[in-house]
Order: sequence, then structure tokens, then C-alpha cells
Amino acid sequence: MIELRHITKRFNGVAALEDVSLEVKPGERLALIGENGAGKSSLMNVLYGLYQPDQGEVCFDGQVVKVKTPAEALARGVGMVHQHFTLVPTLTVTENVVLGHEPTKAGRLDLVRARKEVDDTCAKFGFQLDTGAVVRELSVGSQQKVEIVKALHRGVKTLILDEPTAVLTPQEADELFAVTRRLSDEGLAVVLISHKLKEVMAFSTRIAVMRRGKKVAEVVPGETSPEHLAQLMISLSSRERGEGRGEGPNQAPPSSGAVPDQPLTRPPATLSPLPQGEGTLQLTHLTAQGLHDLTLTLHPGEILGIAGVDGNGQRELAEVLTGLRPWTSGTLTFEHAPITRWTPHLARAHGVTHIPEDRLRRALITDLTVEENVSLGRHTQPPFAKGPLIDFPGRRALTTSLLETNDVRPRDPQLRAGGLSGGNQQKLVVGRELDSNPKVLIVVQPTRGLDIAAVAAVRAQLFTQRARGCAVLLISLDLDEVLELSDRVLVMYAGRITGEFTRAQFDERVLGRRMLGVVDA
Amino acid sequence: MTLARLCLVAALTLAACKKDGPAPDAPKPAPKGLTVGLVTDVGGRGDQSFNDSALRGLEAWAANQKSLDGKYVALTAEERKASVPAELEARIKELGIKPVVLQSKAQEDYQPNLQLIVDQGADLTVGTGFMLENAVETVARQNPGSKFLLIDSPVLDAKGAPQALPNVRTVVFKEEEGSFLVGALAGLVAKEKVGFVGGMEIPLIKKFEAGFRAGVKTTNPKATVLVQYTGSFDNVGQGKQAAQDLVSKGCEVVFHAAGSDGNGVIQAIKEARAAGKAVFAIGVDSDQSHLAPEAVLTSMVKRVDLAVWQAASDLKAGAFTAGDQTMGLKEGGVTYAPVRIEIPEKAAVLQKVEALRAKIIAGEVKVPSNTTDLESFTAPTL
Amino acid sequence: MRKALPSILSVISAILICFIAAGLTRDFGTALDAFTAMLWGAFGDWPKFLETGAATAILRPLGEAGTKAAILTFTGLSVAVAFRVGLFNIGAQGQLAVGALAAAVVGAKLEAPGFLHITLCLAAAALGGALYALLPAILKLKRGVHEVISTIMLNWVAVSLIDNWLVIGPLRAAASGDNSISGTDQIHATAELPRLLGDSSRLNLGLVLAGVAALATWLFLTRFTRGFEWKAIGLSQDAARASGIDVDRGFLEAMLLAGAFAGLGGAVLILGTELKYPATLGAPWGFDGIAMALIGQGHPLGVLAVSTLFGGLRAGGTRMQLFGVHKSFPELMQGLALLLVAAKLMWERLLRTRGTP
Repeated sequence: MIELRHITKRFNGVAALEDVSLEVKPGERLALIGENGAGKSSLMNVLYGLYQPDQGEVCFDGQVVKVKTPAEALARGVGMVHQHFTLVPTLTVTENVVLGHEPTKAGRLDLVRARKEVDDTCAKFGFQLDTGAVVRELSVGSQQKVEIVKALHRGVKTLILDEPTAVLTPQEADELFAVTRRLSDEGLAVVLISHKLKEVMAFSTRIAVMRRGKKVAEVVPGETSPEHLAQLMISLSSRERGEGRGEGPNQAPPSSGAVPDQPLTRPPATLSPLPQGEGTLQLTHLTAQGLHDLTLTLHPGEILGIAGVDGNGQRELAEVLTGLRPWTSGTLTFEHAPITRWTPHLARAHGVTHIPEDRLRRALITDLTVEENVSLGRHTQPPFAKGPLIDFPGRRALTTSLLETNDVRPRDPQLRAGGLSGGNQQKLVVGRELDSNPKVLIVVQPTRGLDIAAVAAVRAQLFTQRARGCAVLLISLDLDEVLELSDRVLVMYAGRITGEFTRAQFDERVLGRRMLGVVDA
Repeated sequence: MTLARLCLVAALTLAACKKDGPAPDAPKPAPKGLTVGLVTDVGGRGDQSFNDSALRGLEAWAANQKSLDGKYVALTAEERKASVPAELEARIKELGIKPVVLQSKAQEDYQPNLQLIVDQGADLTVGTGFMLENAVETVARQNPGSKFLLIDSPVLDAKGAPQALPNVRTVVFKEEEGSFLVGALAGLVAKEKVGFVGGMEIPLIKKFEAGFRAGVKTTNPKATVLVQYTGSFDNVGQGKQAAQDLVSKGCEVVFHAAGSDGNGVIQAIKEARAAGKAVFAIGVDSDQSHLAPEAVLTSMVKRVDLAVWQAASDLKAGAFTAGDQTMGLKEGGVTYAPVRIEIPEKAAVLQKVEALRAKIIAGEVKVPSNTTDLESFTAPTL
Repeated sequence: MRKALPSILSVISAILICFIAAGLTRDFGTALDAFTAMLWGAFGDWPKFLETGAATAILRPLGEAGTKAAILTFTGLSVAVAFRVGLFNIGAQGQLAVGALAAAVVGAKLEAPGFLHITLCLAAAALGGALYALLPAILKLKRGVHEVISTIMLNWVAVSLIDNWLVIGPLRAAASGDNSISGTDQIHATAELPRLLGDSSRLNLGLVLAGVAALATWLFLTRFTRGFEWKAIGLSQDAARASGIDVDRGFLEAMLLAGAFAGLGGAVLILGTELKYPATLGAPWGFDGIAMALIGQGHPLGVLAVSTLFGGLRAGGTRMQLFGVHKSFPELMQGLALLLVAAKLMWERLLRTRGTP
């Protein structure tokens, strides 16, 4: 049994964790929930040896232990699977799993033995993995499995999963939970860091709720509801934002208009037809690398969802639409004019903006400041520029107001963007792209890794854009999200569109089959 | 970080003490002797050739000292004897001057280095090598009160014509005469092919080549001379490559005039001999026999040392004159080093070479110093 | 200022380490004498000036330090601007050689009045260097050749072409008779950069040009939107491209500017002190530029500061020979400082990725 006792951890004087105590027992499935920045990951990083607590202690079976490095944590049977995988893409599954403690024969890597050992581990815990495959070629879900196998292979007794389902399809998520259930049956302790209340309720045997660096509650799923959990996670913190002075503690709050613990405003089941023209984007028999013969129309004022399992052409589609990927045949028309040259610059000039899937790669430059990032893409236009010069006051003013309207915290325009938490980074990106009042918005996985409040805020923003008459293309691997937000859904499989559904036709099972390439007779 | 600061403070304090405190055992400036400064070209100390020869003239012959890890120590009697060749033993006297030597890392260093020597109060400043011509000219003009010696080139004006400066002595050598003698020797030792490795392809090195070719032609008219230029004077690797190439083409004797590149030439010959080939190298400028005693047949010795010593000696005697000097066989400016290895009919061979030397000194043979003259050169009968 | 700390500490540590090394190989008294002499040689022999009142004791060292500083600044800027867009320009040496030759040829073959002649020479050098840097940029964009490889190779191409052929062949200065002359024809007096401190010091307009170039580069990189684009490209090509920045154009522009700076460095060398293209371009100015850029952390004013310091140390370092300390100590200091800076930056990066909550 592991005990974390009275852990306090500060960064630059700001408490990330304040007097947190937590037990992790063998065979249990503990869910650790809370908003972004609530301290969930920090707490687990303490356990995993990445952070040293300023106060408090870590006990293994009653013994106080100082865990200084992840290697020491591993030696004590604690493994962690991070949101960002730590695999070497060019190596095989086996090589990744044994990396760091490779079996050797006469001083040389014994790959045959390694593969057999890894296969054994997979078999023991019921993983189906091609251990000879190169990691780069695996789906995200499989890569995650590799991460888990890697931890299991080192004989961990406690497995920490940091937001594991953020990157998975519903089917993959179900599989993951089945696996973790087997693990806990084998006596392992599994700790799940998550925002998704539904999966937490389904998965865990115990739930610890964190808020602003403190543990505020510990509940058992049977005695609670998602609404109650949401309340625990955010109600107080919203009041603490200082905007609800004089309000009661349980008053439903937040500033951005999103009401996380109430059902979201769904779009109407049927849409009134909108005038053609402004911002209509059409693909006709378009073929590009990874895409085959796509024909689709994106209308102003609608949210068009793209459903599909990861790697079936969604990314390529987004890249074509935003000018990042050339196409080989077919046509792209914008506002009924065929486009011959399409670059990110031209796309932006036409009012087509992009909230990419991988914000750290495509949307933000972590080493630039927040205000520099805000100017990115519009840096040559007012208020960011005066002629060839950067307009520093203009940039600052716009950034300040943008941080305010989008509730990006901290409100520091000069902070490195890399210093923001993931949720705040995404809020920044969304805020930036919407600030330009786009005609077309290409959104990929906009809520990945965000907490409830942030998810609600982002979704509300999408609806606002839709109401403004913006054409929104929503690509998400989260089928629930696609169905919840879209007016119309296209299913993609192997680079083709394999189905189109209007709101009235939404049926998870039918869509699921199409996503897997099964065409109904 | 703190440690670094402490060290800095300590160093500064030390520096301050050094300056302010009394320094009882600081060397008082010696009774004013003569100081002779020398700036090497990029070949630098240890080129075993041109620069070392100049340094020998200054440090060993004139000052009776040698540089050891940056310090000067006096020569022992044996060392001095080994340094001064037998035929000059009577003439070369220790002059008791103080040497100051600056090496140059790059072409751009010549001028500041010469100026720095002048600023050190040197009575004579020596620029070693034609590459310093420009720099010596500039510095001599800027310091009309100082004396200069320029080796290997006259002072040239912007058009490339020789000009005289009142405070500069220049010494050039008749390299073609010395090269002629080693060429004659090479022709007698080799059967079919001899090689020549030059540094930069410039008139100065062409003089070596022309004399060498004429010498070979005189003693072995049927032999072919293969020539390679490395394009540098400070790249051992290039010299080695060139020599290996020549050996592989069948050259039996390879003469080099390539500064430090020549060390590579000798290295290559040494290795070829170790691999069983009967080949010889001929060194240049200094007697390079010690680099590879079994492989170096002889060396075309250019008495840069003598020129430097002579200038220092004249300075001491108050007889230093500006102007251009030319040193050939007759003046003892060029010669060939003693042949220390055994060759067939050694005595007869050397006798033939010595006969040629006499003819040149007597003016009976005019050795060509460039390609044009070489074409019209008719070999003397032996 | 805090960002400059690693560089400053590295330089100080490097000097100290070299001092200790010199002290251990010789003795500390000699080392102290030698290092003091280096300091006087770098920034003026003030004691001698106070003793004798000879202004040349100060002006001359300043001149030598200044000329070296100017060239180092230019090559340092060359590497730094390429670095800004994430390219590693190892080709500054070749670009400098091309620029130097261009300046020497225009200076010698063309006749023009005063400042016009200088301007033409500088323009030719900048253009030559820029075009020579364009080659690797095009190779990268069209063929995907990594710029490190191509720029390194092109260095040797330039050196072989210029030093081993043009300068000893077609462009060699004519000398009468059998006299050997090294390098190309001397440039006309109209092309010489004006000396700033009179005849006794070689300090020339080059240092002013270098200072202006550094300042202008700094302003460009920090105040102009195009400078911002370069920064974005350098930090994340993907994000820059996705946000509509023309990454390829950024590469081309930065390499052109890098080459132009290296070429100008060559021009300052020729027009300032050498007055002709010498037989071989001795010092590895272009490679030193890499050190200047890295120790200066790619900041144009940092490059200027570091170049000024090392220009001085290297000019003064010659004097160490007077005390029997090896002539290469200034280079040793530079190399050590570079090593320490690199290590330091690596450290910081490590700590930052580890410590981000």
C-alpha cells in the first residue's frame, strides 16, 4: 500500500499541492479527478519521483521513502503512462518495452529473448500487440498499450494513467478499461487521472476529487453522480475566481456563459436552410495523399462533424482545407470560386482558420510569449503591426482583452506560452482563431485534454461561431462529442467518406460500423 | 558560480598586488644589449625547414640559446657544435643579442606582429619569408627609425617591381643553384624517374624546380621529372599525398620545396622505404636528415640562418646596410647537406657533383631560374 | 541581462581555466605577465602610455583589437541570423572568402572616387557572400540537402577555388622578374576603409560598420514583423507554416543576409587591413563566427560584445608569446568558453523541461 501524507509542493511560491494525503491500495481502481491545474498530475508526479515535495512524505507499506527519480519509483513498483508518450517512434514495440533494461547475451542485445519476454508479458495481461511492429506505424491506442506493457514488463504494482482516454476512440477506451479491470483483478493498483466523469463513474472503485491543489472529497461511485462530482470539482473554484461576490457557495456560476454541470445547449434537430454564399467551402472528387475522391460541402452556419477512427484521413482533410497539404486531383471551391493556389497564408486571407489537433506542434510556439503567439498568423495586420513594424501596444491591448474574454490564466501576456497549462493553451488558441471572426473554422480535437469548464467554454464558442454564420468543420475522435455538437456528420474510413448522417439519423451503432469500414447491405 | 567569482576576485587581487607591491626580485633591465626580433610566417617554429633555419641563425648562432617550452636556455658546447656546420665554424660567433620571436597564425598577423616587435624596442626586425613582403614594407615605412631584414624577397612596389627602402635589407637566394646540385645528385642516384613536390606554385618555388630539372638533365638526360604542387606551405597531409602519388608513379628520388608540407613528403618516403621500395627524399632549407636518416639523401640547404646571423653581426658591428643581397653557391647562401647514407660509387658521384659546383662558382655554368631559361639551358658536359 | 549570465560566466571561467593552465605549464608569475600583456594588447597599453605618454601605446592595440572584432562580428552575425530561422550556417568561412575576393577584385580593377568605390566594394562583397549562401539554401529547399552538410562542403569549394586557383592563377598580382608576390593586386587607395585613429592605428571604418550591422540586425529581429516571422520559423517550422508564414522565403532571406554579412566580414578584412586578397585566407574567421554566435547566444548585440572581447583577446594574445606562452591561448579560451556555454545552455534546457509543472 502506498500513502502520500500531507504533501505540499510549491512552484515559485505558488502552491500546486497543499497538504494532500492519499492512499493507493492494491487491487483498487482509484480515479483522481479535478480541473486543469487542480494538482492531479502534480500529485502523481510526486509519487513517480518527478517532483520532490516541499513538505510531507511518501510511504510504501508504512515505510517513509524518498523517491528521487522515476527510476526509483519504478524500482518500487510504480509506473506511469503520460499523456505524451515517451516511445521511440522508429523502434519496434519490443525494443521500446525493453529499452533501458535490455536482456543481453555476451554483452549484446538479445532481441530474440527480449521479444519472447515481451510476448509473455502481453499474454499474461491479455494484450494483443504485434511486438515486432515499429511503433511509428501503430495507432495511438496501440501506442498507449505499448506504454502500459512497458510499465507492466518492469513488474509495476501500481500503474498511473494520466488522462489515457483523451486520445482514444470509444472502442479503444472500452478496451482500455477492460484491461485495467483485469489488472486490478490481478492485484495491481490502477490510478486514473481524468476529467471525464462518465468514464470515472464506470471505471473506478474509489474517486478522489482535487480542487486548486487540495483534495476536497473522496467518494465511492455508488454514492455519487456525475452532477455531484462536477459540483465538487468546480463550484467552489468558480466562486473563488472572485466573480461571484455575495453569491451562495452552490450557486451555479461561471463567467464564460458555460454551465458545465447543466446540459449543453444542443443545436436544434433541424436547421433552417441558410443562404448560400459567404464561406461555403466545397470539395469535389478531391484526391490527395491519404484522401480519396472526397466530395463534401461545408455550409455557413452549420457544424459539420467528421467521425472516424484515428488515422483514417481526418488529419489529411484538415491539412488540405487549411493549405498545408496539396491535392493531386479534384477541386476545392471557396465561395463558389475554384481555388488553384491554397497555402496557409491564403487560407487565412480568405477567412479560413484552423484549430489544429496538435497545438504544441501547429498552433503554439511554446518558446514565444503569450502575446507573440496571439499575434501569430495576423502579425502583419493591425493591431499587431504598423507597416513593417510590430505594434507593441496594440498587440498588448488585444492580448490582454483576449486573455480576459477567454479566461486564460494567468493573465500574463509576457509569459512563455509553454508555461501555460494545456487547458489554458487551448483556450488561448481557440480565442486567437475566433478573434479574427473567421468565415470557416476547421477544428480538430478541440477539447482533447481539457477539463469540464474548459470543454464547456470551447463548445460554447463553437456554437457562438455557428450562430454568427461561420461554417464549422469539427473533426474529433470522440464520437460523443461529434454527435453532441454537429448538425450533420460525415464518417471517414480509409481516406474516404463512408456515410453522411443528419441529426435525425444519428445512431451510434450505425456510425460505429461505418467508422470501422463495415458498409450495411 | 560563486566559486568562479571568488577566483576572479583572487586573480584581480593578485594582479593588483603584483602591480603595486614592491617586486624585489623583478629582473632589472639588463645593460642595454641589442635586441633582434623575428616574425615567422605561418609555417612557424618546428617546420624543420625555412622558419627553423631562420630561428637557428638568430637563436642558436647569434644568441647561443634554444627555446624550450617557451623559455630560453643556453646551448651546451655540443649543441652549438651540432648546430653550426663545419665549414662555417670559424666564422659564426656568438653575438650576445637578445632574441624576440613572434609566430604568426595567419597572413593577417604579419603586420601587427612586426609592429609589436618594433614596439618592443628591437634594434632589428626580421621578417621570414616572401609572404611578409607587404607587411615589412608597410611597417618599415611607418617606422623609418627601425631596421628590418626581409628574407626571400625584395621589397616590391604596387606594380611588383623591386624598390629600395633606406631601412630594409633584403636577402634572396639563388635556390636554383643549390637545387641544380641536388638535381645532379638525384640524376646520378635514380635511373628513370625523379619527382619534385612544390608548395605554392609561385616564381620562388619555380626557381627550385628549374634548377632541379637542369641538374637532373645534366647528369641523367634520359630521366623524367614528375612535378606536383600542393598549393600550401603548412599542410603536412597534402605533402604526404603528393609524395605518395609520385612514388606510386615510379619516382626514385623526390625533392621537395614545400615548407611544412615537405615533412609529409619525407614521411611518405620513409613509409615507402619501410614497405620495401628503394626511394629517397631530398630535403630543403635546413639539413632534414634527422627527420628520417635512412630516407633523406641530402637536403638543399638554404642558409637563411647565415643571412639572419650576418645581419645581426653587421648590426652589432655597426655595419648594417640596407639594400638587396643575393646569396648563391659562391656566397655560401645555398649548398647541399652532407650525404650520410651509402649509395653505390658514393665517392665518384659526389666528385661529379662537386665538379659542377666549381663550374657554377666559376661562372662556367649559368643555372636557369625559370621555365623560359630552362628551355634554352644546355647541359654542361661532365 | 540574466540571459547573458551563462555566457559571461563561461567566458570568465574559460579565461581563468586558461590562466591556470598557463600557470601550471609555466609558472604563475609568467602567466600573470602574459595575461596582463594580453590585456594591454587588447585594450591599450595604459601603463606604457602613462609612463611614456606615447598615444600609439593605446591606439595601436585598439586598432588591432578593433579590426579583429569587426570581422568576428560580421561572421558572428552571419551565423546568428541563419540560426534565427533554425539554420546552421557553417559556411561563413566560404562566404567570407568569396566576399573578400569580390572586394579585392572590385577594389583593384575598378576605379571610382572615394566613398563610391568603398560602397561598390562592400556591395560586391555582400552580394558575393549572399549568392554563395543562396546555394545551400536552394539545395535545401529544392533537394532537401541539409544545410550543415552543404555549407561545410561549400567552404572547401570556395577555399580550393579561390586560394588554390584564382589567387595563385588568373588573379595573381603581376611581379617583375622572378620575384614572388603573394595574393592579388593591391586595391586602389580610394577603396581603402578610412582609418579612424590616424596612421598609427589600423582601426578603420569596419568596426563602425560592424556595430551598425549588429544594431540594425537587432532592431530588425525585434521590432519588425519580418524579424518576428524569422523567430517563429526558428522556433517551430510547423507552427510558423500553419500560421501562414512563408517558411521557405524565411530560409532564403535569412541565408542571403547571413551570406551578405560573412561577405562583408571579408570585405572589411581586405579593405581595412590587407589591401589585397592574401595568398591564403589565414584565420578561420568564418568558423570563429560560429563561436561568436553561440557564446553571444544568437543575440546581435551579444555577438557584438563577444566579438569585441575576443577580437581584443586575440589581438592581445600575440603578446603572450613574448613571455613564452603559446600563441594559441586566445583560441583555447574561445573554444573553452564555447564549450561551457553549450554545456550551460544544455543544462538549462534540461532543467526547464524537467521543472515545468
